[in-house]
Amino acid sequence: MSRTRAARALAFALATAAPVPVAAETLVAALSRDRVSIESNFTGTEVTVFGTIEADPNDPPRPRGWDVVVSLTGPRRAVVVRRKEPVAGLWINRESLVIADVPLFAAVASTLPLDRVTDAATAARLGLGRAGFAGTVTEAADARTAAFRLALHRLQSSNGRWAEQPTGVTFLGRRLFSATLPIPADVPIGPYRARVTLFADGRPLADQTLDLIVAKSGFEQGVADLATHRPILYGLLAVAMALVTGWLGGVLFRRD
Amino acid sequence: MLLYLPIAEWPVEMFAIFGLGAAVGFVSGMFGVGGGFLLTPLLVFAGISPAVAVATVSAQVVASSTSGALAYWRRGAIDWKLATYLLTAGMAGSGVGVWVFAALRRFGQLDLVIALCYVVFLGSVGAFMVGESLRALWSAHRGEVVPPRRPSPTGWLRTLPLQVAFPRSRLEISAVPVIALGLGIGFLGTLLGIGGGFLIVPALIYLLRVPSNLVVGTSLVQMVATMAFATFLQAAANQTVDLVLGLLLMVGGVIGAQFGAEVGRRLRGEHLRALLGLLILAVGARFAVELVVPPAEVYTISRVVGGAP
Repeated sequence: MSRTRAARALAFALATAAPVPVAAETLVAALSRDRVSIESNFTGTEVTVFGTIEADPNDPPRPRGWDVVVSLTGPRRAVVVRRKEPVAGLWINRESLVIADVPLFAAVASTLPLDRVTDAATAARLGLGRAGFAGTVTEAADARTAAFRLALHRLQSSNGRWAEQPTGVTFLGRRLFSATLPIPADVPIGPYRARVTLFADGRPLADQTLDLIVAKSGFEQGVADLATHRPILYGLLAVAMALVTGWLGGVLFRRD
Repeated sequence: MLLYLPIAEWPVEMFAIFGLGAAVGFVSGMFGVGGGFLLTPLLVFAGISPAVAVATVSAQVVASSTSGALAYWRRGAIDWKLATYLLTAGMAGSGVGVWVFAALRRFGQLDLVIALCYVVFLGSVGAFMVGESLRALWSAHRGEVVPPRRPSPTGWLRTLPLQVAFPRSRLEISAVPVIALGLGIGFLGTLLGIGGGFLIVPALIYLLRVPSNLVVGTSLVQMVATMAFATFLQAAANQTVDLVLGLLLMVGGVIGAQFGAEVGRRLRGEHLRALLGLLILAVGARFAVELVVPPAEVYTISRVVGGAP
Protein backbone atom coordinates (compact mmCIF):
# COMPACT_ATOMS: atom_id res chain seq x y z
CA MET A 1 0.00 0.00 0.00
CA SER A 2 2.60 2.47 1.04
CA ARG A 3 4.86 1.25 -1.76
CA THR A 4 2.11 2.05 -4.28
CA ARG A 5 1.61 5.48 -2.82
CA ALA A 6 5.30 6.13 -2.98
CA ALA A 7 5.42 5.01 -6.58
CA ARG A 8 2.57 7.35 -7.42
CA ALA A 9 4.28 10.23 -5.71
CA LEU A 10 7.44 9.47 -7.63
CA ALA A 11 5.58 9.29 -10.92
CA PHE A 12 3.89 12.60 -10.19
CA ALA A 13 7.18 14.21 -9.31
CA LEU A 14 8.75 12.90 -12.51
CA ALA A 15 5.83 14.03 -14.60
CA THR A 16 5.77 17.54 -13.27
CA ALA A 17 9.52 17.83 -13.49
CA ALA A 18 9.68 16.56 -17.07
CA PRO A 19 11.21 19.20 -19.35
CA VAL A 20 8.94 18.22 -22.30
CA PRO A 21 5.28 19.02 -21.72
CA VAL A 22 3.24 15.83 -21.63
CA ALA A 23 0.52 15.76 -24.25
CA ALA A 24 -2.77 15.50 -22.47
CA GLU A 25 -5.19 16.64 -25.17
CA THR A 26 -7.44 14.10 -26.73
CA LEU A 27 -9.47 14.20 -29.92
CA VAL A 28 -13.09 13.38 -30.52
CA ALA A 29 -13.95 13.32 -34.20
CA ALA A 30 -16.70 11.99 -36.41
CA LEU A 31 -17.57 11.77 -40.10
CA SER A 32 -20.72 13.30 -41.50
CA ARG A 33 -21.50 9.86 -42.97
CA ASP A 34 -19.99 6.41 -42.83
CA ARG A 35 -21.14 5.34 -46.27
CA VAL A 36 -21.05 6.93 -49.71
CA SER A 37 -23.65 5.22 -51.87
CA ILE A 38 -23.13 5.37 -55.59
CA GLU A 39 -26.40 5.31 -57.48
CA SER A 40 -27.20 6.23 -61.04
CA ASN A 41 -27.39 9.94 -60.22
CA PHE A 42 -24.02 10.00 -58.43
CA THR A 43 -21.89 12.91 -59.60
CA GLY A 44 -19.48 13.16 -56.70
CA THR A 45 -20.10 14.35 -53.19
CA GLU A 46 -18.36 15.53 -50.03
CA VAL A 47 -17.57 14.09 -46.68
CA THR A 48 -17.20 16.36 -43.66
CA VAL A 49 -15.07 15.54 -40.66
CA PHE A 50 -16.07 17.24 -37.40
CA GLY A 51 -14.00 17.14 -34.28
CA THR A 52 -13.24 18.76 -31.00
CA ILE A 53 -10.11 18.96 -28.91
CA GLU A 54 -10.59 17.91 -25.32
CA ALA A 55 -8.18 19.66 -23.03
CA ASP A 56 -8.35 20.74 -19.41
CA PRO A 57 -6.79 23.70 -17.64
CA ASN A 58 -3.97 21.56 -16.22
CA ASP A 59 -2.67 20.81 -19.73
CA PRO A 60 0.44 22.62 -20.85
CA PRO A 61 -0.38 25.90 -22.55
CA ARG A 62 -0.32 26.00 -26.38
CA PRO A 63 0.61 29.58 -27.10
CA ARG A 64 0.68 28.88 -30.85
CA GLY A 65 -2.57 26.95 -30.78
CA TRP A 66 -3.29 23.58 -32.33
CA ASP A 67 -3.02 22.30 -35.84
CA VAL A 68 -5.22 19.55 -37.27
CA VAL A 69 -4.51 17.35 -40.26
CA VAL A 70 -7.30 15.25 -41.77
CA SER A 71 -6.47 12.63 -44.35
CA LEU A 72 -8.80 10.35 -46.25
CA THR A 73 -7.32 7.38 -48.05
CA GLY A 74 -9.06 4.93 -50.33
CA PRO A 75 -8.34 1.33 -51.26
CA ARG A 76 -4.72 0.54 -52.04
CA ARG A 77 -3.67 -1.33 -55.15
CA ALA A 78 -0.59 -1.98 -57.18
CA VAL A 79 -0.48 0.34 -60.18
CA VAL A 80 1.74 0.25 -63.19
CA VAL A 81 3.26 3.45 -64.52
CA ARG A 82 4.32 3.35 -68.15
CA ARG A 83 6.47 5.70 -70.17
CA LYS A 84 6.12 6.29 -73.88
CA GLU A 85 9.22 6.67 -75.98
CA PRO A 86 9.62 7.33 -79.66
CA VAL A 87 10.50 4.17 -81.57
CA ALA A 88 10.93 4.54 -85.32
CA GLY A 89 8.79 7.68 -85.21
CA LEU A 90 5.98 6.11 -83.15
CA TRP A 91 5.28 6.86 -79.50
CA ILE A 92 5.18 3.50 -77.79
CA ASN A 93 5.02 2.37 -74.15
CA ARG A 94 8.48 1.11 -73.37
CA GLU A 95 9.56 1.16 -69.77
CA SER A 96 7.20 0.52 -66.91
CA LEU A 97 7.36 0.37 -63.14
CA VAL A 98 4.94 -1.41 -60.86
CA ILE A 99 4.40 0.55 -57.67
CA ALA A 100 2.76 -1.47 -54.92
CA ASP A 101 0.31 -0.29 -52.30
CA VAL A 102 -0.76 2.95 -53.93
CA PRO A 103 -3.92 4.57 -52.55
CA LEU A 104 -6.27 4.98 -55.51
CA PHE A 105 -7.68 8.00 -53.75
CA ALA A 106 -6.16 10.27 -51.12
CA ALA A 107 -7.17 13.68 -49.84
CA VAL A 108 -5.44 15.68 -47.14
CA ALA A 109 -6.73 18.81 -45.47
CA SER A 110 -4.92 20.77 -42.80
CA THR A 111 -5.12 24.03 -40.88
CA LEU A 112 -1.86 25.23 -42.44
CA PRO A 113 0.21 23.94 -45.34
CA LEU A 114 1.58 20.62 -44.19
CA ASP A 115 5.22 21.76 -44.18
CA ARG A 116 4.29 24.44 -41.66
CA VAL A 117 2.40 22.00 -39.42
CA THR A 118 5.25 19.58 -38.99
CA ASP A 119 8.54 18.51 -40.52
CA ALA A 120 8.74 16.23 -43.53
CA ALA A 121 10.05 13.24 -41.61
CA THR A 122 7.15 13.27 -39.15
CA ALA A 123 4.61 13.73 -41.97
CA ALA A 124 6.11 10.81 -43.85
CA ARG A 125 6.18 8.62 -40.74
CA LEU A 126 2.50 9.29 -40.16
CA GLY A 127 1.70 8.76 -43.84
CA LEU A 128 0.39 12.27 -44.36
CA GLY A 129 0.53 14.36 -47.48
CA ARG A 130 2.25 13.67 -50.75
CA ALA A 131 4.99 11.61 -49.23
CA GLY A 132 2.41 9.38 -47.61
CA PHE A 133 0.24 8.98 -50.71
CA ALA A 134 2.48 6.46 -52.38
CA GLY A 135 2.89 4.21 -49.38
CA THR A 136 6.38 3.55 -48.19
CA VAL A 137 8.62 6.47 -48.96
CA THR A 138 11.74 5.20 -50.59
CA GLU A 139 14.72 7.42 -50.76
CA ALA A 140 14.54 7.48 -54.53
CA ALA A 141 16.83 4.54 -55.23
CA ASP A 142 17.76 5.84 -58.65
CA ALA A 143 16.79 8.57 -61.05
CA ARG A 144 14.52 6.26 -63.05
CA THR A 145 12.42 5.21 -60.06
CA ALA A 146 12.23 8.80 -58.90
CA ALA A 147 10.97 9.90 -62.32
CA PHE A 148 8.23 7.24 -62.32
CA ARG A 149 7.15 8.13 -58.78
CA LEU A 150 7.07 11.79 -59.68
CA ALA A 151 4.91 10.97 -62.71
CA LEU A 152 2.53 9.01 -60.47
CA HIS A 153 2.16 12.04 -58.20
CA ARG A 154 1.65 14.36 -61.14
CA LEU A 155 -0.97 12.16 -62.82
CA GLN A 156 -2.89 11.37 -59.64
CA SER A 157 -2.98 15.04 -58.71
CA SER A 158 -4.01 16.22 -62.16
CA ASN A 159 -6.91 13.76 -62.37
CA GLY A 160 -8.16 14.73 -58.92
CA ARG A 161 -7.43 11.41 -57.27
CA TRP A 162 -4.90 12.91 -54.91
CA ALA A 163 -5.94 16.23 -53.46
CA GLU A 164 -4.37 18.56 -50.95
CA GLN A 165 -6.23 21.33 -49.17
CA PRO A 166 -3.57 23.27 -47.30
CA THR A 167 -6.17 25.30 -45.40
CA GLY A 168 -9.04 22.87 -45.60
CA VAL A 169 -9.44 22.44 -41.85
CA THR A 170 -11.17 25.38 -40.22
CA PHE A 171 -11.66 26.06 -36.55
CA LEU A 172 -15.27 26.89 -35.78
CA GLY A 173 -14.43 27.79 -32.21
CA ARG A 174 -11.33 27.50 -30.11
CA ARG A 175 -11.58 23.71 -29.99
CA LEU A 176 -14.16 22.76 -32.57
CA PHE A 177 -12.97 22.14 -36.11
CA SER A 178 -14.28 20.76 -39.37
CA ALA A 179 -12.95 19.80 -42.80
CA THR A 180 -14.86 19.04 -45.96
CA LEU A 181 -13.19 16.60 -48.31
CA PRO A 182 -14.26 16.14 -51.94
CA ILE A 183 -15.36 12.76 -53.24
CA PRO A 184 -15.06 12.98 -57.05
CA ALA A 185 -17.52 11.32 -59.42
CA ASP A 186 -15.04 8.67 -60.52
CA VAL A 187 -14.08 7.77 -56.95
CA PRO A 188 -12.70 4.24 -56.62
CA ILE A 189 -15.02 1.77 -54.87
CA GLY A 190 -13.91 0.23 -51.58
CA PRO A 191 -13.07 0.84 -47.95
CA TYR A 192 -11.79 4.27 -46.95
CA ARG A 193 -10.11 5.42 -43.80
CA ALA A 194 -10.09 8.95 -42.46
CA ARG A 195 -7.39 9.89 -40.02
CA VAL A 196 -7.48 12.99 -37.85
CA THR A 197 -4.19 14.03 -36.26
CA LEU A 198 -3.74 16.80 -33.71
CA PHE A 199 -0.48 18.75 -33.68
CA ALA A 200 0.98 21.41 -31.48
CA ASP A 201 4.37 22.96 -32.01
CA GLY A 202 5.08 20.50 -34.83
CA ARG A 203 4.55 17.40 -32.69
CA PRO A 204 1.67 14.95 -33.03
CA LEU A 205 -0.37 14.81 -29.83
CA ALA A 206 -3.28 12.55 -30.62
CA ASP A 207 -4.99 10.90 -33.51
CA GLN A 208 -8.16 9.07 -34.38
CA THR A 209 -9.19 6.94 -37.35
CA LEU A 210 -12.66 6.72 -38.80
CA ASP A 211 -13.95 4.28 -41.41
CA LEU A 212 -15.93 5.08 -44.51
CA ILE A 213 -17.30 2.76 -47.17
CA VAL A 214 -17.70 3.83 -50.79
CA ALA A 215 -20.02 1.36 -52.51
CA LYS A 216 -22.46 1.14 -55.35
CA SER A 217 -26.04 0.69 -54.25
CA GLY A 218 -29.45 0.02 -55.69
CA PHE A 219 -29.57 -0.56 -59.43
CA GLU A 220 -25.87 0.18 -59.93
CA GLN A 221 -24.94 -2.45 -57.37
CA GLY A 222 -27.37 -4.93 -58.87
CA VAL A 223 -25.84 -4.57 -62.32
CA ALA A 224 -22.26 -4.70 -61.03
CA ASP A 225 -22.99 -7.72 -58.81
CA LEU A 226 -24.59 -9.57 -61.68
CA ALA A 227 -21.62 -8.80 -63.93
CA THR A 228 -19.12 -10.00 -61.33
CA HIS A 229 -20.89 -12.92 -59.72
CA ARG A 230 -23.03 -14.26 -62.56
CA PRO A 231 -20.92 -13.38 -65.62
CA ILE A 232 -22.47 -16.10 -67.82
CA LEU A 233 -25.99 -14.91 -67.08
CA TYR A 234 -24.91 -11.29 -67.51
CA GLY A 235 -23.38 -12.10 -70.90
CA LEU A 236 -26.53 -13.86 -72.07
CA LEU A 237 -28.59 -10.93 -70.82
CA ALA A 238 -26.39 -8.45 -72.73
CA VAL A 239 -26.79 -10.45 -75.96
CA ALA A 240 -30.55 -10.81 -75.45
CA MET A 241 -30.90 -7.09 -74.79
CA ALA A 242 -28.98 -6.25 -77.97
CA LEU A 243 -31.02 -8.66 -80.10
CA VAL A 244 -34.34 -7.44 -78.70
CA THR A 245 -33.40 -3.76 -79.09
CA GLY A 246 -32.33 -4.34 -82.68
CA TRP A 247 -35.45 -6.36 -83.46
CA LEU A 248 -37.73 -3.73 -81.85
CA GLY A 249 -36.02 -1.01 -83.84
CA GLY A 250 -36.66 -2.95 -87.02
CA VAL A 251 -40.33 -3.49 -86.14
CA LEU A 252 -40.99 0.09 -85.06
CA PHE A 253 -39.34 1.67 -88.07
CA ARG A 254 -40.24 -0.96 -90.62
CA ARG A 255 -40.64 0.53 -94.05
CA ASP A 256 -40.69 -2.36 -96.45
CA MET B 1 -28.38 14.78 -66.95
CA LEU B 2 -25.40 12.90 -65.60
CA LEU B 3 -25.71 9.17 -65.33
CA TYR B 4 -23.29 6.93 -63.45
CA LEU B 5 -22.33 3.85 -65.45
CA PRO B 6 -22.19 0.75 -63.23
CA ILE B 7 -19.39 -1.12 -65.03
CA ALA B 8 -17.42 1.74 -66.55
CA GLU B 9 -17.54 3.39 -63.08
CA TRP B 10 -17.68 6.75 -64.75
CA PRO B 11 -20.47 9.35 -64.91
CA VAL B 12 -21.50 10.43 -68.39
CA GLU B 13 -23.87 13.02 -69.75
CA MET B 14 -26.80 10.79 -70.66
CA PHE B 15 -28.04 12.82 -73.61
CA ALA B 16 -24.53 13.23 -75.00
CA ILE B 17 -24.06 9.46 -75.10
CA PHE B 18 -27.54 9.02 -76.54
CA GLY B 19 -26.70 11.65 -79.17
CA LEU B 20 -23.39 9.96 -79.89
CA GLY B 21 -25.25 6.70 -80.47
CA ALA B 22 -27.74 8.48 -82.72
CA ALA B 23 -25.02 10.24 -84.74
CA VAL B 24 -23.08 7.04 -85.29
CA GLY B 25 -26.38 5.25 -86.01
CA PHE B 26 -27.10 7.89 -88.65
CA VAL B 27 -23.75 7.21 -90.30
CA SER B 28 -24.24 3.47 -90.09
CA GLY B 29 -27.74 3.64 -91.53
CA MET B 30 -26.56 5.92 -94.33
CA PHE B 31 -23.67 3.70 -95.40
CA GLY B 32 -24.97 0.33 -94.27
CA VAL B 33 -22.08 -0.28 -91.89
CA GLY B 34 -22.09 -1.02 -88.17
CA GLY B 35 -20.30 2.16 -87.14
CA GLY B 36 -18.19 0.48 -84.47
CA PHE B 37 -15.03 1.94 -85.98
CA LEU B 38 -16.40 5.41 -85.12
CA LEU B 39 -18.12 4.59 -81.85
CA THR B 40 -15.28 2.86 -80.01
CA PRO B 41 -12.74 5.69 -80.48
CA LEU B 42 -15.37 8.29 -79.58
CA LEU B 43 -16.24 6.49 -76.34
CA VAL B 44 -12.59 6.25 -75.37
CA PHE B 45 -12.31 9.94 -76.09
CA ALA B 46 -15.29 10.53 -73.76
CA GLY B 47 -13.39 8.92 -70.89
CA ILE B 48 -14.62 5.32 -71.03
CA SER B 49 -11.79 2.83 -70.60
CA PRO B 50 -10.85 1.06 -73.86
CA ALA B 51 -11.71 -2.31 -72.32
CA VAL B 52 -15.29 -1.26 -71.53
CA ALA B 53 -15.68 0.68 -74.79
CA VAL B 54 -14.64 -2.23 -77.00
CA ALA B 55 -16.78 -4.78 -75.15
CA THR B 56 -19.86 -2.55 -74.98
CA VAL B 57 -19.67 -1.51 -78.62
CA SER B 58 -19.72 -5.18 -79.61
CA ALA B 59 -23.16 -5.36 -77.95
CA GLN B 60 -24.20 -2.19 -79.76
CA VAL B 61 -23.09 -3.67 -83.09
CA VAL B 62 -25.36 -6.67 -82.43
CA ALA B 63 -28.33 -4.36 -81.95
CA SER B 64 -27.59 -2.18 -84.96
CA SER B 65 -27.01 -5.19 -87.24
CA THR B 66 -30.05 -7.17 -86.09
CA SER B 67 -32.76 -5.02 -87.64
CA GLY B 68 -30.84 -4.90 -90.92
CA ALA B 69 -30.24 -8.65 -90.91
CA LEU B 70 -33.96 -9.28 -90.30
CA ALA B 71 -34.92 -6.96 -93.16
CA TYR B 72 -32.59 -8.82 -95.56
CA TRP B 73 -33.91 -12.12 -94.26
CA ARG B 74 -37.48 -11.13 -95.11
CA ARG B 75 -36.31 -10.32 -98.62
CA GLY B 76 -34.45 -13.63 -98.79
CA ALA B 77 -31.21 -11.80 -99.58
CA ILE B 78 -28.93 -13.96 -97.44
CA ASP B 79 -26.68 -16.86 -98.43
CA TRP B 80 -27.16 -18.95 -95.30
CA LYS B 81 -24.55 -21.54 -96.17
CA LEU B 82 -21.90 -18.91 -96.75
CA ALA B 83 -23.00 -17.05 -93.60
CA THR B 84 -22.72 -20.26 -91.55
CA TYR B 85 -19.14 -20.84 -92.73
CA LEU B 86 -18.24 -17.21 -92.02
CA LEU B 87 -19.83 -16.99 -88.58
CA THR B 88 -18.48 -20.32 -87.36
CA ALA B 89 -14.97 -19.16 -88.23
CA GLY B 90 -15.86 -15.72 -86.88
CA MET B 91 -16.70 -17.11 -83.45
CA ALA B 92 -13.40 -18.96 -83.30
CA GLY B 93 -11.59 -15.74 -84.29
CA SER B 94 -13.56 -13.87 -81.66
CA GLY B 95 -12.44 -16.30 -78.96
CA VAL B 96 -8.81 -15.71 -79.92
CA GLY B 97 -9.51 -11.97 -79.99
CA VAL B 98 -10.80 -11.88 -76.39
CA TRP B 99 -7.72 -13.76 -75.24
CA VAL B 100 -5.27 -11.55 -77.14
CA PHE B 101 -7.13 -8.48 -75.88
CA ALA B 102 -6.61 -9.50 -72.23
CA ALA B 103 -2.95 -10.40 -72.85
CA LEU B 104 -2.19 -7.07 -74.56
CA ARG B 105 -3.87 -5.20 -71.72
CA ARG B 106 -1.61 -6.95 -69.23
CA PHE B 107 1.48 -5.96 -71.17
CA GLY B 108 0.34 -2.36 -71.61
CA GLN B 109 0.40 -2.58 -75.40
CA LEU B 110 -3.36 -2.72 -76.03
CA ASP B 111 -3.65 0.94 -77.01
CA LEU B 112 -0.70 0.66 -79.38
CA VAL B 113 -2.01 -2.44 -81.15
CA ILE B 114 -5.51 -0.97 -81.42
CA ALA B 115 -4.10 2.26 -82.86
CA LEU B 116 -1.84 0.42 -85.32
CA CYS B 117 -4.70 -1.80 -86.49
CA TYR B 118 -6.92 1.23 -87.00
CA VAL B 119 -4.20 2.95 -89.01
CA VAL B 120 -3.44 -0.08 -91.16
CA PHE B 121 -6.95 -1.40 -91.79
CA LEU B 122 -8.89 1.84 -91.90
CA GLY B 123 -6.13 3.50 -93.88
CA SER B 124 -5.94 0.82 -96.55
CA VAL B 125 -9.69 0.13 -96.82
CA GLY B 126 -10.48 3.86 -96.81
CA ALA B 127 -7.89 4.57 -99.51
CA PHE B 128 -9.16 1.67 -101.59
CA MET B 129 -12.79 2.81 -101.32
CA VAL B 130 -11.99 6.41 -102.17
CA GLY B 131 -9.85 5.36 -105.11
CA GLU B 132 -12.40 2.88 -106.43
CA SER B 133 -15.33 5.28 -106.18
CA LEU B 134 -13.36 8.14 -107.73
CA ARG B 135 -12.50 5.91 -110.68
CA ALA B 136 -16.17 4.98 -111.04
CA LEU B 137 -17.20 8.63 -110.83
CA TRP B 138 -14.56 9.62 -113.38
CA SER B 139 -15.68 6.93 -115.80
CA ALA B 140 -19.31 7.94 -115.39
CA HIS B 141 -18.33 11.55 -115.98
CA ARG B 142 -16.64 10.59 -119.26
CA GLY B 143 -19.68 8.60 -120.24
CA GLU B 144 -17.89 5.24 -120.19
CA VAL B 145 -19.75 2.13 -119.21
CA VAL B 146 -18.04 0.45 -116.27
CA PRO B 147 -17.64 -3.20 -117.18
CA PRO B 148 -19.53 -5.36 -114.70
CA ARG B 149 -16.89 -7.21 -112.73
CA ARG B 150 -17.20 -10.54 -110.99
CA PRO B 151 -18.32 -13.25 -113.39
CA SER B 152 -16.39 -15.82 -111.40
CA PRO B 153 -13.67 -15.92 -108.78
CA THR B 154 -10.36 -15.95 -110.51
CA GLY B 155 -7.12 -17.82 -110.34
CA TRP B 156 -5.81 -18.94 -107.03
CA LEU B 157 -9.20 -19.27 -105.31
CA ARG B 158 -9.96 -22.17 -107.63
CA THR B 159 -6.68 -23.95 -107.01
CA LEU B 160 -7.02 -24.16 -103.21
CA PRO B 161 -8.26 -27.39 -101.64
CA LEU B 162 -11.65 -27.94 -99.94
CA GLN B 163 -13.80 -26.74 -102.79
CA VAL B 164 -17.32 -26.05 -101.57
CA ALA B 165 -20.41 -25.11 -103.55
CA PHE B 166 -22.47 -22.14 -102.35
CA PRO B 167 -25.53 -22.57 -104.59
CA ARG B 168 -27.34 -19.45 -103.40
CA SER B 169 -24.39 -17.30 -104.50
CA ARG B 170 -23.77 -19.53 -107.54
CA LEU B 171 -20.20 -19.95 -106.38
CA GLU B 172 -17.91 -22.94 -106.20
CA ILE B 173 -14.84 -21.89 -104.26
CA SER B 174 -12.41 -23.19 -101.71
CA ALA B 175 -13.55 -23.01 -98.08
CA VAL B 176 -10.06 -21.84 -97.09
CA PRO B 177 -10.43 -18.13 -97.97
CA VAL B 178 -13.98 -18.12 -96.54
CA ILE B 179 -12.82 -19.50 -93.21
CA ALA B 180 -9.75 -17.26 -93.17
CA LEU B 181 -11.97 -14.25 -93.78
CA GLY B 182 -14.37 -15.24 -90.99
CA LEU B 183 -11.50 -15.84 -88.58
CA GLY B 184 -9.83 -12.56 -89.43
CA ILE B 185 -12.99 -10.46 -89.10
CA GLY B 186 -13.97 -12.17 -85.84
CA PHE B 187 -10.52 -11.60 -84.41
CA LEU B 188 -10.21 -7.97 -85.49
CA GLY B 189 -13.80 -7.15 -84.60
CA THR B 190 -13.34 -8.40 -81.05
CA LEU B 191 -9.95 -6.78 -80.62
CA LEU B 192 -10.94 -3.41 -82.03
CA GLY B 193 -14.58 -3.18 -80.97
CA ILE B 194 -15.91 -3.01 -84.51
CA GLY B 195 -18.35 -5.14 -86.43
CA GLY B 196 -16.00 -5.26 -89.36
CA GLY B 197 -18.65 -4.53 -92.00
CA PHE B 198 -16.29 -2.17 -93.79
CA LEU B 199 -13.79 -5.05 -94.06
CA ILE B 200 -16.08 -7.95 -94.90
CA VAL B 201 -18.29 -6.23 -97.47
CA PRO B 202 -15.39 -5.35 -99.83
CA ALA B 203 -13.87 -8.78 -99.23
CA LEU B 204 -17.09 -10.54 -100.23
CA ILE B 205 -17.46 -8.34 -103.30
CA TYR B 206 -13.92 -8.20 -104.62
CA LEU B 207 -12.32 -11.35 -103.22
CA LEU B 208 -15.04 -14.00 -103.16
CA ARG B 209 -17.16 -12.34 -105.88
CA VAL B 210 -20.42 -12.88 -104.00
CA PRO B 211 -23.40 -11.39 -105.92
CA SER B 212 -23.98 -7.86 -104.68
CA ASN B 213 -27.63 -8.48 -103.70
CA LEU B 214 -26.48 -11.09 -101.17
CA VAL B 215 -23.38 -9.34 -99.82
CA VAL B 216 -24.90 -7.01 -97.24
CA GLY B 217 -27.45 -9.46 -95.81
CA THR B 218 -24.89 -12.23 -95.49
CA SER B 219 -22.32 -9.98 -93.86
CA LEU B 220 -24.97 -8.68 -91.41
CA VAL B 221 -25.83 -12.22 -90.31
CA GLN B 222 -22.14 -12.92 -89.83
CA MET B 223 -21.75 -9.71 -87.77
CA VAL B 224 -24.77 -10.38 -85.54
CA ALA B 225 -23.55 -13.87 -84.68
CA THR B 226 -19.86 -13.04 -84.27
CA MET B 227 -20.42 -9.89 -82.23
CA ALA B 228 -23.07 -11.58 -80.06
CA PHE B 229 -20.49 -14.24 -79.29
CA ALA B 230 -17.85 -11.55 -78.65
CA THR B 231 -20.24 -9.72 -76.29
CA PHE B 232 -20.89 -12.90 -74.37
CA LEU B 233 -17.18 -13.73 -74.09
CA GLN B 234 -16.23 -10.19 -73.01
CA ALA B 235 -18.94 -10.26 -70.35
CA ALA B 236 -18.11 -13.75 -69.15
CA ALA B 237 -14.31 -13.48 -69.20
CA ASN B 238 -13.55 -9.81 -68.58
CA GLN B 239 -16.77 -8.36 -67.10
CA THR B 240 -16.37 -5.31 -69.27
CA VAL B 241 -19.80 -5.00 -70.92
CA ASP B 242 -21.70 -2.03 -69.51
CA LEU B 243 -25.40 -2.69 -70.01
CA VAL B 244 -26.47 0.87 -69.18
CA LEU B 245 -24.00 2.40 -71.62
CA GLY B 246 -24.91 -0.25 -74.17
CA LEU B 247 -28.63 0.41 -73.91
CA LEU B 248 -28.15 4.18 -74.38
CA LEU B 249 -26.02 3.59 -77.47
CA MET B 250 -28.37 0.97 -78.90
CA VAL B 251 -31.52 3.07 -78.58
CA GLY B 252 -29.77 6.13 -79.97
CA GLY B 253 -28.22 4.06 -82.72
CA VAL B 254 -31.43 2.34 -83.82
CA ILE B 255 -33.22 5.68 -84.09
CA GLY B 256 -30.33 7.44 -85.83
CA ALA B 257 -29.99 4.61 -88.33
CA GLN B 258 -33.52 5.20 -89.65
CA PHE B 259 -32.75 8.79 -90.61
CA GLY B 260 -29.37 7.80 -91.99
CA ALA B 261 -30.93 5.15 -94.18
CA GLU B 262 -33.36 7.75 -95.52
CA VAL B 263 -30.49 10.06 -96.54
CA GLY B 264 -28.50 7.12 -97.88
CA ARG B 265 -31.30 6.19 -100.28
CA ARG B 266 -31.10 9.63 -101.91
CA LEU B 267 -27.37 9.45 -102.63
CA ARG B 268 -25.65 7.67 -105.49
CA GLY B 269 -23.67 4.55 -104.70
CA GLU B 270 -20.33 6.03 -105.84
CA HIS B 271 -20.88 9.16 -103.79
CA LEU B 272 -21.77 7.07 -100.74
CA ARG B 273 -18.67 4.92 -101.11
CA ALA B 274 -16.45 7.96 -101.57
CA LEU B 275 -17.89 9.62 -98.46
CA LEU B 276 -17.59 6.47 -96.38
CA GLY B 277 -14.04 5.98 -97.63
CA LEU B 278 -13.15 9.53 -96.59
CA LEU B 279 -14.70 8.99 -93.15
CA ILE B 280 -12.76 5.75 -92.66
CA LEU B 281 -9.56 7.46 -93.81
CA ALA B 282 -10.15 10.32 -91.36
CA VAL B 283 -10.50 7.96 -88.39
CA GLY B 284 -7.36 6.10 -89.47
CA ALA B 285 -5.49 9.40 -89.81
CA ARG B 286 -6.63 10.47 -86.35
CA PHE B 287 -4.98 7.36 -84.89
CA ALA B 288 -1.86 7.89 -86.98
CA VAL B 289 -1.52 11.42 -85.60
CA GLU B 290 -1.84 10.09 -82.05
CA LEU B 291 0.98 7.62 -82.67
CA VAL B 292 3.31 10.12 -84.31
CA VAL B 293 2.82 13.41 -82.47
CA PRO B 294 4.81 13.65 -79.22
CA PRO B 295 2.29 13.33 -76.36
CA ALA B 296 1.99 16.10 -73.77
CA GLU B 297 2.38 13.51 -71.01
CA VAL B 298 4.55 10.51 -71.77
CA TYR B 299 3.56 8.68 -68.60
CA THR B 300 0.33 6.79 -68.05
CA ILE B 301 -0.96 4.89 -65.05
CA SER B 302 -3.23 1.91 -64.88
CA ARG B 303 -4.14 -0.61 -62.25
CA VAL B 304 -2.35 -3.92 -62.38
CA VAL B 305 -5.01 -6.16 -63.90
CA GLY B 306 -5.48 -9.80 -63.20
CA GLY B 307 -8.90 -10.38 -64.70
CA ALA B 308 -11.37 -7.59 -64.15
CA PRO B 309 -10.29 -3.94 -64.44
